[in-house]
Amino acid sequence: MRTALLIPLFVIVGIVAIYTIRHYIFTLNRLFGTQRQPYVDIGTAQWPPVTILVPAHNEEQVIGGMLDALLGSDYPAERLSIVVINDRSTDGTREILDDYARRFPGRVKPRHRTGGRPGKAAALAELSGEVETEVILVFDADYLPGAGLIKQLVAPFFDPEVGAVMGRVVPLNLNRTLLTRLLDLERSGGYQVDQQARMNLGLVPQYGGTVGGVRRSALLAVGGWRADALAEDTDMTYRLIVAGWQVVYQNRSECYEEVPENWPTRIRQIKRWARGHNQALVSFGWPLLKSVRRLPATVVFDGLLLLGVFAVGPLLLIGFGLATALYYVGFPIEYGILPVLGVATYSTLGNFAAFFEVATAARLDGSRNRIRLLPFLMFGFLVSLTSVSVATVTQMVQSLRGEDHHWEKTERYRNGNGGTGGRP
Amino acid sequence: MNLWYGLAFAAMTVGWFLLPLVPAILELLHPSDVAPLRVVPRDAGDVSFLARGFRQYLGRQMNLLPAATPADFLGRLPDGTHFARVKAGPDVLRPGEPGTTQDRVVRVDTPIALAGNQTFLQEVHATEDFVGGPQTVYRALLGERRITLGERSRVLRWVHAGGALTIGGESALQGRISSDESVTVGPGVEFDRIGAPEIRTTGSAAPARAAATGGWQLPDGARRIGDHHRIDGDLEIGAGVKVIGSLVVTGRLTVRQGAEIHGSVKVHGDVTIERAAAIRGSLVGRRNVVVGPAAEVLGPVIGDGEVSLGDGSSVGRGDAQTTVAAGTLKLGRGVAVFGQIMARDGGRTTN
Repeated sequence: MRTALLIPLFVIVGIVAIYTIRHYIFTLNRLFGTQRQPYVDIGTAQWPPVTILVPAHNEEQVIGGMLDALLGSDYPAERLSIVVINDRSTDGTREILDDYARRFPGRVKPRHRTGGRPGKAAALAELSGEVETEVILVFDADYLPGAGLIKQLVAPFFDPEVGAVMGRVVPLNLNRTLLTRLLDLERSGGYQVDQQARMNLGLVPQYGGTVGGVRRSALLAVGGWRADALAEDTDMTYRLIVAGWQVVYQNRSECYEEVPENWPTRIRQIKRWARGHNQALVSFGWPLLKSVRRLPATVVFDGLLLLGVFAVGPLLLIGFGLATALYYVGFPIEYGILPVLGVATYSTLGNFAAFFEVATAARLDGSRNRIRLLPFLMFGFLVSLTSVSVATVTQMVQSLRGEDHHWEKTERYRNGNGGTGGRP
Repeated sequence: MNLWYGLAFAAMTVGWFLLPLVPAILELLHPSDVAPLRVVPRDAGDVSFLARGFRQYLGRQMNLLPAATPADFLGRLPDGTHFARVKAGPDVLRPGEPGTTQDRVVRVDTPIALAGNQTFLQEVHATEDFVGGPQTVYRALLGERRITLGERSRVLRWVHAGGALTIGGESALQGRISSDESVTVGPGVEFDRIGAPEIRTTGSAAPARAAATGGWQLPDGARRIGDHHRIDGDLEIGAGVKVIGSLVVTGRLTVRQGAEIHGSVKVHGDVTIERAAAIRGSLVGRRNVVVGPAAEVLGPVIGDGEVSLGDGSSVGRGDAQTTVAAGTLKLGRGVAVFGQIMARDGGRTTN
C-alpha cells in the first residue's frame, strides 16, 4: 500500500521539480544571460506583401478601434491587406466592417461567414487557403497594434527558417478590477521572462494566435490551420516545430489587449486554454518525442514540458491527495518530499508564470508598485489550479464518451460595462 | 487564562500570515501603479527620430521668441534654455578660436567652417552647410544641408543631415547617425547606428562582378522543408556555382568565390561569403558572418555575433534599401550599405 502510494508521489514530485528548475533557469537567464532579439533592429527592408487576418464574432465594441490602429500602421499601404473574418456576428459588426470596406477600398476586406464550423480555428482554416501573401499576421479583434508593430512582426520572416513569430501582449484595461491587475502581472511574467528566455536559449517560444503570424509556405507545408483545434495557436506551434520550422518571439513587439475583467470569463478562458493545450499534448507528445533525431534534444525536452504545462495542475492535486492519503494511512513521508512538493507547487504552476518570474518581469519592465499585489496571485493560482484540473477531467470524460468540444468566445469590455461573465 | 493565551497565539499567527498582504491590500485600496505598461514607441527604431524631435522643439521655441529678436542673438529660449543664434556674425561661436566650449543650444543660419577642438554641450542646428573642425565634440547636431565632421570628432547622441554627411577618420559616433541623402565614413571610425539611403566607407568601389553559371547539386541528406532546403552539418558551395532557392545550414557555410545564391540563407554556425560571391536574398547567421571583398548581399544581413563586410562589398541596392544588424560590425574600405546599419555592441571601419 505504502509503495503504491509513494511511487506515483515520487514521480509527481520529480515532474514538478523539473518544472521548477526550468523556471529558475528561465529567470536567471533573463536576469543575467545574453538576450537574443536578432530581428528587432531591421528597420529598413524590402517589406513583403502581408495579409492581416482578424477573426471577429460580435465585436462591435472593439473592431473599429482595431481597424483604425491597423490603418495607422507605417507598413507600406500597398503591401498590406486587412481581412476581417466576420464569423456570423449578430450585432453591428457586419455594418461596421462594410463601412470600413467602403471607406478603405482594397485595404479592408471583410469576409462574412454564415456557415461552416464556428470558432477562430475554423475561420482561419477557411480563409487561409485564399491568402496569397507569403506572410500572414493574425490579430484578435480587441487588440490595438502600434504603428510600427507590423514591420516588427514581419522582420523575422526574412530568416527562411522562421515559420511563425509571436509578439508581446500587454494588458490595457488593468485598472478595472483586481483580476485585471493580476492578469497584468501574469502576462508580464509569461512574456517578459518565460517567452524571452525560451527565445534566448533556442527552445520553443509559443506562437500565441494573436500579435503574431505565420509564413504561408510553412502553413501549407504543415497542412494549414486545423478547424477542430481548440487552441489553434498551440497546435500550429507544434506542427511547425515538428516539421523543422522555428517559432520566434519578439519581446519588443508589444501590443495592447483587453484581459478578462470578471472571474467567470477568466475561468472559461483558462478552461479553454487547458483543453486546447491538452489536445495538443495528445496530438504532438509522441511526434515530438520521435523527432529527437532531427531536432535538438533541448527543443524536444522543452517542447514536451511546454505541452504538459496544463497537466501540472491535476498532477499537483493528485500529489497532495497522495501525500494526504499516506499521512492518514499511517505512513510518514520521508526524504523531505512534502516540502519539495510544496515549494515546487508555489513555483511551478504559479498562475502559469511562477511568482519569481512575475517579480523578475516587474523589475525588467521597470514597474514599481504593482509588484505589491504579488501575494494576491495566490488567489489566481488557486482558481487556475482548480479550473485547469476540472477542465482536464471533463475533457477526459468527454473524450471517452466521444463528445465534441465547442469554442467559447471571450467577452469584451471596451464600453466600460465590466462584462456579464457569460450570463445572458 | 489558557483561552486568552490561545486567542493571543491565534491572533499573532493570523497577523503574521496577513503581514505580507498589507502592502498588497494598500495597493488594492489605493492604486498607485495602474497605468498600462508603455509599449515601445512607434519611432524607436527610426534612426533620425531624435533629430526630428529636436527640430520640432527648436521650431516651437523660436516661434515664441519676440519678433524683434536680432539675427545674431545670445540669450535664452522661452523655456529658459541658453541659446545662441548665428547669422551675420559667426564670431558668436568664435569659429577661428580653438578650444572653446559652448554650453548652449546653437542655431547657425549661415554656412560655417569651425576651427576644431571645440565642445558643444548642447544641440547644434545648422540651416546651411556645416563644416566641423577636427577633435570637436558634439552632443547632437542637426544640419538641414551638408555636414562634414573633421577627423577625430566625437558625437555623444546623434547627428542628422538633410544633405550629404561626411565623417572624418578616427571619429567616435555614439548613438544615431543619419542623413536623408548619404553618409560617408572615414577610416578608423567607431559607430553604433547609421541610417541613410547610401552609406559608404572611404575607398574605391569594387568592379562589377561576373554572373555565376555553374550548376549545383543538393548534398546528400538535404531535406526540403516548405520553401527552403535544410542541410544538417557543414556546406560548401563551389566557386562560380549558381544556387536557386533558400537554404538553412545547421553547421558552417562557405560560399566560394563568384558563386551566387538566388534565395535567402540561414546558417547556425559561422558563414563565409568569399570574394565576389552574391546572395540574392537575406543572410542570417547565428554566429559570425564574413562577407568577402566585392561580394554582394541583397539583404538584410543579420548576425548574432561579429559581421565583417570586406573591401568593396555591398549590402542592398539603391532601389532596394535594407538593414545590416550585428553584434559587432567591421566595415572594410569602399563598402556600400544602402539603408541602415545597427551594431549592438559597436562597429568600426578599418584603418
